Amino acid sequence: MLKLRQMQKQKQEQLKSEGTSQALKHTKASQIRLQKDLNNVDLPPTIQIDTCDVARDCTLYLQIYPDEGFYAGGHFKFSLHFKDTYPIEAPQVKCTSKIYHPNIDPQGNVCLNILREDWSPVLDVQSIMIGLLLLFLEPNPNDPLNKAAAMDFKDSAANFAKNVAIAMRGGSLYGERYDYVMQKD
Amino acid sequence: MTDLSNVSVLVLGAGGLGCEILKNLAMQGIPSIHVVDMDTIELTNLNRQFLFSEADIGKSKAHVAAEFINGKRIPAADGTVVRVTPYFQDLTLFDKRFIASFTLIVSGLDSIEARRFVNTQLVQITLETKYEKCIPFIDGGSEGWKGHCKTIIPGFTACYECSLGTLPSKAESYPLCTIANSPRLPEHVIEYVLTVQWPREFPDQEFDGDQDPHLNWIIERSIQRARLFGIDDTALTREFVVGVVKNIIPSVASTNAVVAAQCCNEVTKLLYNIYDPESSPNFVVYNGDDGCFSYSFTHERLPDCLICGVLQ
Repeated sequence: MLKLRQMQKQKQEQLKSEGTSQALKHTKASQIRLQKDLNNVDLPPTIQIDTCDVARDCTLYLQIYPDEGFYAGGHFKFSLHFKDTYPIEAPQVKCTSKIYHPNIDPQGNVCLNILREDWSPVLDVQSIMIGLLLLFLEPNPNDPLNKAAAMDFKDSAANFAKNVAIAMRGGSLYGERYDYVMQKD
Repeated sequence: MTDLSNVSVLVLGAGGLGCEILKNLAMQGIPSIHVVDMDTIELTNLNRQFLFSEADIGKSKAHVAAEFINGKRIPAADGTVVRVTPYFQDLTLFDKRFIASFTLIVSGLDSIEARRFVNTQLVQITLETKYEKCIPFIDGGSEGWKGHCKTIIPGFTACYECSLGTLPSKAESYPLCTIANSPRLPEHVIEYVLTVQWPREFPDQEFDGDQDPHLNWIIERSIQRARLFGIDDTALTREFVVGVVKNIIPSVASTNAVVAAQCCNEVTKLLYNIYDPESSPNFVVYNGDDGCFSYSFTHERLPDCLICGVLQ
């Protein structure tokens, strides 16, 4: 395999002259895909990406500030962690603001179908962001993580709206104190 | 003359293609051949997997194949005797260091996932060693009358992942509305009986194509349903129904022979410095179902390939 070995030598010398001293950092498939997703993102005016260091920790931080619905005026922070298995597996999504929401529990776990049973590798960062935004515009009380909030929502929308307003201003509900989210960081 | 004494080839799969590849490599006098296969021998393998006989049914394909070839004491090109080492295991459990110990790898696998695993490992080996190590990967594949041979030089030419687009689409599936309301083909009828009627009738029982009562039920209902829609029920023979429910594409021994021969051609060209990775075509397709058609071409690397591409 002389020809191949020659080509390898050439390539090695080329790398040396380019000053690549450390071993070629292999970029994982998940990172390439994430970068591609980010390049193709078309942000709606109600979402902002704070940081995402693809090469380092593959975690995306974003904020959602709905302009209508129960949660209008709030700023909700999320972290999306992409493992090596992305896009075969969905990223791990956490809501880092403690909020009062039927589909998000006080620990920050998010119940969204496309992050679990309906995940498919054709979905991307854009679809996840839209999915999260939808949670604020149309909370779904039929598949609750925060049962108290879901009951509230089912019983009386007006009461729920009032409670959301209290929680977003840093108030307590049913023994849980929620984060103040009315200001942008 | 090229010195082959340090050459060690890993063969993935000891099935239809694997037997042919092993035979070809051994007859060429490759001194050290390693073979991995996680399957055991079945009766239906024997028509084309000629390293096995009836007495071997149930035994490991890799072990029996290795024993057969070792027993022939075939002279190797370096003056020793061809030695085949078997591994009866799942190849995706191999670690990278082990894979890195071979001169080149030839595959005759039936699994896309296993190929993608090997491809990923090999590309990583090239990149991590800064091109000091580069292990060519020759991938053979056959289905019915058709086959391919891909020569992959990790880090230099299109990798397996770059060429995923050349794979045939998955087993044919029919839209449920067609098979439920307007079936036209005997396949539609069988598909409906299998996916709709069976679960309705036996909600607690998984359909098993190896069980005669299950199969008989499917055949009987399929014939009834075919008559209902005026579809020719003579097509619904037992063999036909089994073929559809198990999604069987018959293996053709001669296709395996052609594809394996092409793979071993590439091995020979690589080992004897006849192959030029910069100009030789890297992909060969073969189709024998209508005369004989074969075509060689160069598949380019994809710049945004998830495995061998670089982050922009």
